[in-house]
Amino acid sequence: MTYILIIDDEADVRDALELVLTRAGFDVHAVGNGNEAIEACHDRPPDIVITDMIMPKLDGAQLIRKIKSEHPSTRVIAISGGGNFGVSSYEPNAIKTDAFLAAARAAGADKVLTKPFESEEIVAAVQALIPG
Amino acid sequence: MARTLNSLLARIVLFVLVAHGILLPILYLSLSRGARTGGGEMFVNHVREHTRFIADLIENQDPAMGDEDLVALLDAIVLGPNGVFAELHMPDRLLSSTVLPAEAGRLFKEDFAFGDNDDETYYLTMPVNIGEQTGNLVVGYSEQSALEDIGRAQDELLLALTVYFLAALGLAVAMATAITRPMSALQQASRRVARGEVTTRLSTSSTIEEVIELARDLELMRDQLVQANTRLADEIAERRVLEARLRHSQRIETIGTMAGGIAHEFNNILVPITLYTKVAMEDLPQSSELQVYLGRIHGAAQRARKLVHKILAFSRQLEAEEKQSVDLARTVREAVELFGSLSPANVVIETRIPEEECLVFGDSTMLHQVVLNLCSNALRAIRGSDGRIVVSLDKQWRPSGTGHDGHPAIEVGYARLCVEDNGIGMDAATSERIFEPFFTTREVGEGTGLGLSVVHGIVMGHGGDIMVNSDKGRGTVFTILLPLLPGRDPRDLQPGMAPPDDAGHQA
Repeated sequence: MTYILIIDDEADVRDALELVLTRAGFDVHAVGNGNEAIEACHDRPPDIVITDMIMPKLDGAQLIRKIKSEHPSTRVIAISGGGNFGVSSYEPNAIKTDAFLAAARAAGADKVLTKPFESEEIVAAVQALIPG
Repeated sequence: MARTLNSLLARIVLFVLVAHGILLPILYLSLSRGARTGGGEMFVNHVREHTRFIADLIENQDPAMGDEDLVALLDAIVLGPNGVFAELHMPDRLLSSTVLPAEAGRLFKEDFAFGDNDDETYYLTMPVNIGEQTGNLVVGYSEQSALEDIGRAQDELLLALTVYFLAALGLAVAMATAITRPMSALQQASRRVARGEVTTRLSTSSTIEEVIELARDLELMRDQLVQANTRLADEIAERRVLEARLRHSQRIETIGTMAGGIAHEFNNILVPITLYTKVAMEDLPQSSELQVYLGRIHGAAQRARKLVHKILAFSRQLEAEEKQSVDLARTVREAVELFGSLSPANVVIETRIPEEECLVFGDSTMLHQVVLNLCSNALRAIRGSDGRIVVSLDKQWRPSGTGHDGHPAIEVGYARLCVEDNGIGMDAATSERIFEPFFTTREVGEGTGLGLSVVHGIVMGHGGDIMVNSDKGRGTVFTILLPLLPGRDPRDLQPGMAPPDDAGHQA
């Protein structure tokens, strides 16, 4: 069964995603920050990681780089609500909706998705990344 | 009082008074003394000649003549002009005029100087030879008439000097007035200028060269003052406009930053709403009436998603990632065509777009959006049947910034896009806020109030400028200026123009 690790600091988003993907038939584990995610990856390398981009401590781009270097086979979907919060950690002067997603792509994300999205969209994104 | 004394008129009059007060008495005294001396000499010469004449008559007469004849000659002297006394002193006898006043002999003094002794009589002794005998002719003449003549001459002199003094005083006053009158006229005009009536010309009717020059210099000064004032006022006005626009831009930027932050939070909130609603709908039987309510929630969440998308479109200031050389003429033509196919029949859309290329550095999709937003804004302003929207594009050369030290500013080429409508227009207060996000004059639900702020953001993101000119009840013109590309190759970009965004290309 495809194992998905969800990382988002917002419990509402995390829980909703976990529910939707569990119901779609995936093995889902959700954590609230990057450090927990690294630990979870050590315990059991996920097939797919779904991560928010703006998080305290370890942000999305750093997390993606770390996972990609430690677990090259893990596929990553980056999700972001856009806006310009914390944008300086990526590109000093950019004020772009998808600056985060651009940063995610640069860090090695396989797919990016703008929040909010329909349950069908996220499920389709996950299915597209399942190997084979 | 001090002021009056210090005035030019008073100074000149005072000077004339003092100068004449010193000079005139000296002049009068010396002239009057001269008149007295001259008059005296004339009198003495005259009486000497007269006495000589009588003495000659006495000497030349027949020796046989009696004393009666000699007395008659003495009488002739006394009766002649000014004569008062005549005696002939012979060694043997004394002959006197018979017409002498009784006291004449007593009065006789040895007085041979004119005007002395206050007796008004001048005495003269002249030796005469009669036969073998030598005697003395002693005569006296009245000085009165000569003294009167001298007195009259002195009076005339005094009168002449008085007339001269008054004339000099009058001339001085006239001269001082001729100088001071135009000067005080100038002074009053200067005061009016100082009070702010700067259009008052400073000129003089005076013919005095110095006053004319003073007036000319003052007028020059006033003229330069007026010019400096005008320049200053223009600069202040220009600065105010620039400041207002800067404040406006800053406000929009601040609101944009805030809106961007809020949008991000909203997107996060919308995730559980969207997902849980869907899950709930899946779990409920199709027949449940809760399906309708959940459907409503889902629909509302989607509308919220669209709104947030628009807010983000504004807040990101559209730092175009896909900027490249864009033919604005073509983009505008295409956008207007698309808009024309969607707009109602009661509105005529007129275009004035040049055939030639109009290259700018930007994102054609966003510029397309600008034209669409402006046109749809124009369409919403139109009421009634004869609506008209004019979209025009041309190239303009404008100075970039202000020139310094008289050097002309560098000219920069701009593409000027104007969208004009004959709609309801708006007042100044509305024009002022028209680019603010969420500012709308439409009814709630008719518009988001983001269209024009998106336009503003795109134009700013392209290094351009946007202006609005509106007449309430007559229509509105939006004017957009975008820097022209110097050539087809973006590498030709002049310094100062927006460079290509490297960050955008790594995506």
